[in-house]
Amino acid sequence: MSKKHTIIEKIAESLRIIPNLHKDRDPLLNRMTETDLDTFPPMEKWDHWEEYEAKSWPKKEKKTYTIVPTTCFNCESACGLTAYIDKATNQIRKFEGNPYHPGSRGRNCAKGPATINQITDPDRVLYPQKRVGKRGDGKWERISWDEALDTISARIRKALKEGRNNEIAYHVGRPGHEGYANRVLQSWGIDGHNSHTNICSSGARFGYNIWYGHDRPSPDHANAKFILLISAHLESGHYFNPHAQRIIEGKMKGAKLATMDPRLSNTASMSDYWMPTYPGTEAAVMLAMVRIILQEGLYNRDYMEKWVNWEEYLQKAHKDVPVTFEKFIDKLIDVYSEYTPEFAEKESGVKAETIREVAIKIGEAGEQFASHNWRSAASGNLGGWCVSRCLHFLSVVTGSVGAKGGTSPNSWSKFKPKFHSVPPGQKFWNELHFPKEYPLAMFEMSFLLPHMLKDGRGFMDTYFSRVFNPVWTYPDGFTWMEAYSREDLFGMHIALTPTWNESAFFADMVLPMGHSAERHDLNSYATHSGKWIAFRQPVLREAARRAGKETTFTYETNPGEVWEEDEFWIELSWRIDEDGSLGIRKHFMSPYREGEKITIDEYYQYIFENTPGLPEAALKEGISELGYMRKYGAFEVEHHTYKKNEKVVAESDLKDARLDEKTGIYSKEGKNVAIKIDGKPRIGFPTPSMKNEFFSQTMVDWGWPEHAIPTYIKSHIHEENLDKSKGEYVLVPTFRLPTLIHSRSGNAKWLMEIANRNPIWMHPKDAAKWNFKTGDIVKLSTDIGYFIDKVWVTEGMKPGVVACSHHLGRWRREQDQGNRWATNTVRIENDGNGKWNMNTKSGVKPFNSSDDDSKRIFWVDGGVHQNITHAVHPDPISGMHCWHQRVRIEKPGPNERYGDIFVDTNKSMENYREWLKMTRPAPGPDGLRRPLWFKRPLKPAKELYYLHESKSDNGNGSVRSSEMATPEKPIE
Amino acid sequence: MSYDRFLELFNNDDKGICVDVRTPQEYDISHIQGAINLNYLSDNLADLLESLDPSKHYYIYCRTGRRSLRVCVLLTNMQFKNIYNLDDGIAKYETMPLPG
Repeated sequence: MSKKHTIIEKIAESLRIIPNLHKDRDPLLNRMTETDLDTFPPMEKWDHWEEYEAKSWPKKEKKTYTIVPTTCFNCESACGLTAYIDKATNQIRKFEGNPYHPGSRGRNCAKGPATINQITDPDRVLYPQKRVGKRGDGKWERISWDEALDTISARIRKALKEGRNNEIAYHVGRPGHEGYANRVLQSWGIDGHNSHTNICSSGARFGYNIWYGHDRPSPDHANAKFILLISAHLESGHYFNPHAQRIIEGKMKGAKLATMDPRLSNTASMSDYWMPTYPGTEAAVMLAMVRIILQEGLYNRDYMEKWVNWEEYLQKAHKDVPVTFEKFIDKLIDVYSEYTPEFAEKESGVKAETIREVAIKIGEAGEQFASHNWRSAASGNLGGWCVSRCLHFLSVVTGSVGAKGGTSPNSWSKFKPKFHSVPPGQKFWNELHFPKEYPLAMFEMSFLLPHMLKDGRGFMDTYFSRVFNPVWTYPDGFTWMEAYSREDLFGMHIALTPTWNESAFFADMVLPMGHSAERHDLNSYATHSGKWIAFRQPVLREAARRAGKETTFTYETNPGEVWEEDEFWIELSWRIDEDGSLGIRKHFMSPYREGEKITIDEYYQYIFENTPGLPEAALKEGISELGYMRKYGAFEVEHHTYKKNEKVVAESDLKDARLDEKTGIYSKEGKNVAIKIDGKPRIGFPTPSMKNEFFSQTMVDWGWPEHAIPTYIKSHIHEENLDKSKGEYVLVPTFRLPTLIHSRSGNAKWLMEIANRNPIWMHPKDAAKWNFKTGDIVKLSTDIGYFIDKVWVTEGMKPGVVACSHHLGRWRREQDQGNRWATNTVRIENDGNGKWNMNTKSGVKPFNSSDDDSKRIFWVDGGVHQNITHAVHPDPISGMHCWHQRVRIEKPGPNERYGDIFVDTNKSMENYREWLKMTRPAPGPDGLRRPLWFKRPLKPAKELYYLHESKSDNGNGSVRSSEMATPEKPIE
Repeated sequence: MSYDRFLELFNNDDKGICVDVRTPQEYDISHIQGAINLNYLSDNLADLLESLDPSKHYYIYCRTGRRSLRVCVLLTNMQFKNIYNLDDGIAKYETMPLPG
């Protein structure tokens, strides 16, 4: 039921200050459409749009633009952008939103329009560069794209011919491309995908995956009655702009919002309930809430009875009780008897009454309970994956999984493109990416790469980093610097990047790749219940096309010789396989012109003409599918994506399938294809039981029986593990600032102007212990070193916890280039035995450049690089880096200065080995190195999943297919 | 600082210099009597600021307070001591006759 509207709201609606929420735009979904943004230039004028030039004011001077849609690249939401290109100068003048984009619906956060800064940044990389002199010396020489392609392709060809496939890797910071890079890597036959995900979202992904085989949530905020966020999605975080607008839409219709966060974030301040949990205790609070819902009889019996594997649980864990649903509920209440609101209060610090009140509200919201957890607590703590597991437990007991107003699996909303050619799974397993100590790791153990290389586990001959800056973004950056500097660990490092960054300083080649409006890409994200695709396109290339100019490669229209990955990979692959004998070229052939190399337009045309509904939409306008996407920049594939698990499987798909009457599962050729629910074969969930797995046999099989059901694990920074008498605190280092994004926003002047330093948030009671005032300097010692920052005393921080945004503290050395809007100039010293010091020589200051604004820089402080002092904390189950740090707080000494940093990388290695001891390595059942039903970003051939006792290692951490046991012949 | 207070201080300050940091076009339309023009958006802003006498007191304004605030911060970074900003600028007084 909708909330009653106030007179002020009605007036605001009639004046079109806010959207008219009384108007029933869509009886099914009640959500806004692009027509609500009626002040946007109408589509028919996009190729000839006139407006006054702001800089000429008060003179009225008209300018004519062609408006080209694309998508933003400053976070992963891929919100729609429109580039205004001056027809007279062929320059991009500004970016606005794209009302035709179903995710962002014309709206953007500050990062979208700031794309123009990144494009015009005088410090950006405009031409391919190769290093001259020693790695890291900061000396570079311009080269041609041809030289880059020839050098790299020769190296890769040699490695492939010698069977050193595992010495080639692509390490991606900001992914996207919807399978593009994966297809390239598999065409080369390498297990070479390494991602950033285990420092990002793996923890939460694991918690969801172990329940229902999908690893991320997609909340339907707009239609929810109650929203619980373990994050800050009104201000920052993944999909924040699309989510924030829908959270507000839900709130305007009466939804209540609760936020768990030890920090009074902007999100928490807009919430009806701020629940400042002690970090890592969120799972305990949610288990208490589950128990209250069960005790109060507010659970959704119908959903749970059909879609939870409760029978399997009773049969395996409680053999002495009858297998009835009533007994299941009794057992749940009994098993979780420890989780009273009082216990949860003791752990978390949140009042028992609040926990109880929120639990009742969630129970009453029922199917209209939406929730979200992406990183936050799930990424901060040992056992952080229990946070999302227990959050999903709330969705299960309320029956809100996949419901309108509830939370769906993200993959229901994510589009999977059809490619013109699909290479087979690679015949290699790279143990540097998926080492056997972490058989359940959701993604590659990427943050341990330098540690494993230093440990002698392998070698990277040709290593691409793409929009990836681990020296700065990852924990333990000095260990990355050490490894990147060694040619015996990294043979050649090629940085594909739109900007200079702290890691590119240590590369061998820096190849300039375009910002969002300078390249092709396909995007589809779970921003709401619906499925869409968006087309990131190089807008100057499209403007040239509209003007009748031919373009062969995108760098012809971009600034300098800035290129794009898509065309680069085609050209590189073609050169690696000179005569087609390696079997690579065949995957880069045109689907329309036999025997000829595919063009970028053909690649996307093929995908778009195989996108359901798009050919019809294009036909209506009399244009091609590619033409449609060039024009609108986005297409809605499905209007909503609710309850897909209930979809009935066609009889034809069940031909030759075998039905197990006991479990209700239909299987064919060893694969589950449907589950019988309500007498009908349905799609279900991609788990072994095809249901939500309250009980996980997988956890039992892989040596973690104590976590067979949702549990609470006390974090490595639990209060029991800290010695307060020694000044030990937990540092929450993960929160984002709404206007910044990791290292990519360092060259956006508007964004740096808004936020440019990262002080330590500290409650007045804690500050009083050291007599700290705002602006005083403070020393925080981690397990491997220390950093010195300033204090911000605020009641917006939970007492006993300190926090620091990870978005600032960018640096460059005297010899380095780039990002002068954001970087302090630092001095780095190394004693040659693992001890590193960094000191700030000067802060941010005005500089001369082609952009006059660079002379007007008024901020002087670029913040402090905290991550470089963080020890690695790989969760032994999910593989996630547990970001929260145990820190010792003290007043700095007389010779210590703001910005001073010290790290001992010997301690880093000791710490890495300590955490390694917590693992329970593969093999699992049948000699498996990983459960077959777990996804991998780059899935190898099935036989690679089996470990073999006598496998021979070729010295680079690789395992080749020919040495593998087969499923039929597992290890003994 | 309010508009009235800003004018009062400036008019009674022997060392006071009033600086309009808007564009020359905006300055030509109207400005506070006695104000000099120093365009925040000019190509040589840094040089213009460096040419100022640090022993003087500066009263800075623009249209909305945005540009003047940044000039105040830049001057503070350059160790100027007596800097005053007109909060919110002169936009709301533009329809009123400016003094002088």
